[in-house]
Order: sequence, then structure tokens, then C-alpha cells
Amino acid sequence: MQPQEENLTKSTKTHSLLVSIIIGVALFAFLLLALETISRTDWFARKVSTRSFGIYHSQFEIKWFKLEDYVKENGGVDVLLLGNSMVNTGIDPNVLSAEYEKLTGEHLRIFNFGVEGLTVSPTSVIAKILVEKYQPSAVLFVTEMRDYVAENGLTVENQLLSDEWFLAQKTAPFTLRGWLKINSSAVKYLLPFRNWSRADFPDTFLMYLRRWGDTSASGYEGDLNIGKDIDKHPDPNDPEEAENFALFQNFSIDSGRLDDLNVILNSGGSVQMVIVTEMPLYPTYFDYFGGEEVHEQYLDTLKAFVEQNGGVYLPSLGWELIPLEYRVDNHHLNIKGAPLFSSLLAEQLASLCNTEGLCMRSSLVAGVEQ
Amino acid sequence: MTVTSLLFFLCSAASAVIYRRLPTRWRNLWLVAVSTAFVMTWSWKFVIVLLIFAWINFIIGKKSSPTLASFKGWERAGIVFNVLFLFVFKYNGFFLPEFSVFLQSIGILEPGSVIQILLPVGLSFLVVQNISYLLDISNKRLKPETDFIRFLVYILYFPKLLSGPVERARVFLPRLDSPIVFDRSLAERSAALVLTGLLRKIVFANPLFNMIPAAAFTSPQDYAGQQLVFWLLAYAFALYNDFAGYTAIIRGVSLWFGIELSPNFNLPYYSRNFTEFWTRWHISLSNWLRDYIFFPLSRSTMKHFPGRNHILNFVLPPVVTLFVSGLWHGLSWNMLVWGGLHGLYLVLERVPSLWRPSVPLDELPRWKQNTGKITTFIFAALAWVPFRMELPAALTYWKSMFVWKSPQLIALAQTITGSRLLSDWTGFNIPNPILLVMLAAAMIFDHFQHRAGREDFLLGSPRWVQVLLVIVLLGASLLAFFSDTTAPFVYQAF
Repeated sequence: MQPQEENLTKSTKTHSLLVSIIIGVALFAFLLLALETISRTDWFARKVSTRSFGIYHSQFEIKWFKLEDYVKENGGVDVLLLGNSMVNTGIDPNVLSAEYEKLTGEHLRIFNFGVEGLTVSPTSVIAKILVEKYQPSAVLFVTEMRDYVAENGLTVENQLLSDEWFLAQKTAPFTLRGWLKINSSAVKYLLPFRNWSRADFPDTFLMYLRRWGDTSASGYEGDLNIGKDIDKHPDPNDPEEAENFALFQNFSIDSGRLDDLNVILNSGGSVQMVIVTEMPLYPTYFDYFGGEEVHEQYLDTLKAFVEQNGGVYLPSLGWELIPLEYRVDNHHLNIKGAPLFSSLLAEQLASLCNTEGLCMRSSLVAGVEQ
Repeated sequence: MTVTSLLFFLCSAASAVIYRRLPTRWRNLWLVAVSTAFVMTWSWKFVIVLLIFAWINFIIGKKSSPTLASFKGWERAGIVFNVLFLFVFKYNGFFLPEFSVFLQSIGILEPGSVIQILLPVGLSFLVVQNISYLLDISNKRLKPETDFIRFLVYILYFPKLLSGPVERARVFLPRLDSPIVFDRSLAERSAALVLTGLLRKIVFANPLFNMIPAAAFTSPQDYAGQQLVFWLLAYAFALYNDFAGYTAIIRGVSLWFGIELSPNFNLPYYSRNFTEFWTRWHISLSNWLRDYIFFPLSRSTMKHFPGRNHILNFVLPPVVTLFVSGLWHGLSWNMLVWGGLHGLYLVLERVPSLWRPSVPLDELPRWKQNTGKITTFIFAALAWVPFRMELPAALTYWKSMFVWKSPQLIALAQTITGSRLLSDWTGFNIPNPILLVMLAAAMIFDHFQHRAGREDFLLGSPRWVQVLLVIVLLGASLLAFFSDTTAPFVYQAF
């Protein structure tokens, strides 16, 4: 056979690419549909748990999906713990629930939704979404002085709240991406891989998997670190501390942030009680804000505001109850400190129930449908 | 509107369907309308600038006809106008800050404010096209266009507007008069080009670009030499796939209108020397540089310094041509170094021809051809360093490439087994494994094109390969749709 003839034979043997494209598109659509169907089954959820909304704040996503799983597993949630990283690493809901049940006889399904970097402002938005979705009977908001500094946490807040997923929660203009992120199960399982080609993907993805694994089913993420020099006063001349001093030294409570707190206090829906408290912070922490006196003044204002607006103010536990080696730094607790604080908090809440009748109730008992 | 967006394909397809149903006399007007709408998706201001630019070139073109007495003067004025236009819009960073200060000093501009001029899309490509148009007219290779609408199609035709190919009017305009019949075989070819282009851009180029840490281009000294080597390889393949992908897409789309656009790439990393490289990389611009810089300069130096081996004949034309190429990419030292390096490569590889006749590449022994391919690729890749970054960083990058650090394999093993926290993969001094996979995939893709010997090689692939590639493309597109990163076409910035 001549080469030209060979070529001719070869070219007539070629498949139609257009047909292949149609087959490819159809097959891809079928695969997506299959993934969408399979990913909605319990079997798949047990095998693959990591999901994402494509939000930059991966810890928020972990908490969101863990809560989703928790509700599926337990039939609902009674108490939502809200706050920042102090809550995340500082309260173990299992210990809190067990201790509370021991002291009051009330079994509560508690979930820790503490997310690092969040101030009262984004927390108020998240609280609204969570209360609407899960109808808990109580919210325990653990707050602190930084929440009320207007300039604090704006980067995290802006990035998080301007995310497509958040916007799609509200009545933002329809976007296909936003809709898919909320409604497609397959997309949620694919989204952790969305940045597969980024230089930092191995780092961020492995970190995501680790944190997913480290976060308990009830949302608690223990911290193994033991802090050093916690009792040492922070040095304003230390470049690492300078930013904190600059931001917090002229502390005053921002009225806008109090409005945000008010949103949490009036979560509405099924919420019968909103409790506001503070972690047992080590006194050196208050140096950034001007000392313990400023802290005391802040607590007075906070207490009055909470009580005026229908909330329950729970005084913070004495810092001396948590030993130094139970802390990561002057405001975070470690894996030893969290169970201790959780049981002390349970005692405090139980006493509130037993003495003042302010009890956290199971949503099932309260008659709220999940 | 980017040429990888679904909207682009839908609009282009709809425009092509309407184009084919229109009477011939309306077709060019339709192409102008569609192209103008395309430019407006970037900015309506660009439309005005480009219309003025086209109108002036159209007039100068008419005046450059050799039938008129003063045509040479008009030709030169036209070239000066085009170069100045490029200078004002593209290279204004060199004079605008000072000019702003001057205007502030005489009170025209408010203190502290600066004048900003936006670079209209595709201007660098349009300028070289127009220069060739004027030169071809005055050299009697082309008659000046008398129909402004037809000329506007030459300027604004949307598939080639953003990043070429650099079309010659004498080649492009006749294609408007006789569009290719859009039959099944053309549809297949067009599909092959579009699919190849999308695969190159979305599956290879974007991920490879993204896998290189941005800091590698600013602080290369912070990384291990072996990482820098792999990132340079990644950059070389990313850049190639980016531009070749773009060209394949728009050539495929242009076929929907029955208009063939010139090829721009032919597996440049398979070149056996740099002379061949410049016939395979950005072919339309290389041809332009050859025809309008290299040849005239060679003729001129030969006239003044007879003898092929005269040092000026030997050195000047390739070096000047590649310097011009560098300047076209950007008025900066690093681009000049990039062009200069390629000029130097061309000169060096011609040195043996001073004492022995050159052997055609195809007649060289296979091992010499392969050695040539590897050497050419290595030196082309090294030249991409100043193409990508500022000169001081480029120098550091070159130096740091030779400072290899021992891979942290124990730390890696500890991380994999979970006994150590991973904070930064680059700390292991080994390249990202996904990058290696993507590099290999890009090379295999090229290998198949090379083996088939045709750009629409996907047409000859087995059905399962075609289907698999479509699925891979759709999967990568889906993830890219949700990704937090974007990677615009590099040559769009030129």
C-alpha cells in the first residue's frame, strides 16, 4: 500500500470527535448525577465525611458540616455554644452535657460552634442562620472584650460574610454557584478539591483533613499545647504584641457591636434562653485593654445590657480555678483545661437551674419539632 | 469576556449561525458589530480608541499607495503613528508619572493625582498588523483597502483581537471574500482545535501556573534549587499551553465563520535548534519579525558590509530582531534580556556555519537531533526566567537554581504518618507531586501531537481517549468554576 493510500485509510477510520464530545458530555452529566445520588446516601456520608462550601474559612465549614452530621445522628441540637477560638478549644460539649445531666437530670444535646477569628458581629449573622435551621432551645454565647472593638476582626468578617455561600443564604441575586453550593450534595463533596492546582493545596488540604479529624462529633477541637510565660505581662514594646496593644489599649464598647449582641440575645424561633458568659481569662490578658479595672467596667456594662435585653448573664469563673498548665496562652485553654472548665461551667449552669429555675431544656421536651 | 467562558462559545456560535444566514454584503458589517460588542464587554472606551486607531490607519493606508507621489512619507508617518500609539497606551509607565508631575506643577492636574491610560485589548497585536499592512501597500504587495467596514473586520475581528495571531491583510482579507464551507469535516476540525485549546488552557496551563508559589518569582533564594528547576519547567509548559491553548480555541471558533486564522504554534519544545524554535513559537509574530525586521536588516547590512560571514551580517540581524521582539513584549530590562538571550542563542548556533556548511536538521543523526531538542529546551526555559520576573529576581533565580538543598524526607514521612503537622509543603525541598503529574501529562499530550504530526491530532485518537479527554476537561472546568484562583491568558497582557 502506498503511503498516501495508508493515510487515506487512516483518516477514514477516525471517529467523529463531535460524537465523542456528545458522549463525553452525556457521560460526565451521568457521573455527576450518579455522584449527586450516591452522595445523598448514608453509606456515602459514612465513607466520606469531608465537605466544603468553598468558603475561605475552613473551620467554619468544618463546624457547619459537623453540626449537620450531629443533628442527623442525634435527631437535633438543644444548646448551641457560640463564640470564637476560645470556645472552640475551651468547651467540650460531651463533658458539659454529662455533668449537667448528672446535676439536673436533663440530657442536653450540645454542640460547640466556636469558630476562630469571629467576633460578635459575624456570630450574630451565623446565630440567626443556625437558629432558623436547627431550632435549638438555648444559645450559650461566650463573649470577650475584643468582640466589642469596632476595628477588630473586620478582615475575617468581611471575607466570610461576603462569601457567595453567605450571600446565597440571604436574598442576594441568584448565582448558579451559590445555588449549587447550597443545594448540591455532590458539589459539597467536590469543593474541598476546588483549589487542587494551587501551590499551597497540599498544605491547606492536609491541614483541613487534620482539623476535620481533630474536631469531635460535637464540635470540640482540643489543643495539645501547654502555654509558656502566661503569667508574664505582655510587653508593649515587643513587636509581636504591638498590634494587640495598638488595637485594644483605648478600649471602649462599640454600640454597633452591642446591636450585634442584641441580635443574638433575641435569636427568636425556638430559643427560650440566651446565656452570655466569658471564659476564665488569665489576668495578664487584660493588659492589652488597660488592666483589670477596664475589664470590670466592661463586665458591668455587658451584664446590664444582657439583662436589659432578655438574656441571662452568667458571671465568668475565677481564673484561679484553671491552673497554668491547663492553658495554651492567657486566653485559650488546652486539652486539659477544656474538660475542667466544661465541668465547672456545667456546675454553674446547673446551679442557675436549681437555684433560679433558669434551666436549659431539651428541645424535644420543650416540644420544638426538629 | 474570556475566550474560555461558556458565554463566549454560546455568543460565538449564535453569531456564526446568523453570519451564515446573512446575505454576503451584510456579513462584514455583522462581524464588525459582533466584534464591537465583544470589545465592549471589556470597556466601551476601548471601542472608541480602536475605531479612531482603525480610521487613521485606513486613511494612511490609502495615502501609502505607490501610485501616489508622497506614499513613502505617508508610510513612514503611519509607522511612526502606530509606534507612538503603542508607546502612549502601552509604555506610558515610563513617562506618565513625570508628565503628571508636570501637569500638577502648571495647575492642570490636582496635586497627588496621576493620569492613567488603559491599554486597549490586543493593541500590541494590532500595531504590528497595521505596520505590515502599510509596508505591504507601499511595497506593492497589497492594494490599499477601500472599504472601511472590511478594514474594520481586519482590525477588530474578535477571535484574533485579544492576542492574535498577527494576520497579514493580504492573507486575511481575501479569506473574508471566500469563507470556507462549514461542513462536517470543518466542524470536526474546529471541534478538535477548540477541545485541544481548552485542554491546554484549563487542564494544563492554569494548574501549572497556579502550582508555582508567587514568592518563587520575587524571593527565589528562599527555595531549594531543585524546586526552582521544577517550577521553571512548570512555567515553560504553562506559558506554552496558555498561549497555544488560546490560539487553538480562537482558530477553532473562527472556523465557525469559515475564516481560517494562521497557526501560531507547532510544538516549539520539539525544536532541534533556536532557528527552528522561532519557526514553531508564536509563528505569526516570528514571521512578521522575520519579514519586516530581519530580512530588511540583513539586506541592508549585506549591502553595506558584503560577505555573509561579516560579523555585522552575522550578529546584527538576529540580535536586533530578537531585541525588537523583547521590546514588543514590554519596555523593560528583563524583556530586553530575554530577547537578547534568544538573539545570542541564534548567533551562537550559527557559529559552526562559519567554517563548515550547515546540515539540514532532518539529515542529522537521531542522537544529534535529540540532543539538540534537549539543549534547545533547556536554554529556552532558562530564558523564560527574565521573561517572567524583574531582572534582579531573575539573576537570583538563575543562581539559586544551582543551590540544591537536601530533601526533608523524614519530615515528609512524619507528616504523612500524622506525627508532624504540615505547615508548608515547600519546606520539604521537593516539588509538589501534583505538579509532577501535571508536567508529565502536558508532555504526554505534546508527545501524542508530535507522533500524529498534526495539530488536530485528537481527530485520529481512539474514541475512548476522546471521551476521556472531554470528561477530564469538564471535571477540571467544574473545579475551576468553583476555584478561588484565576489565571488570565498571559499574552492578553501584551
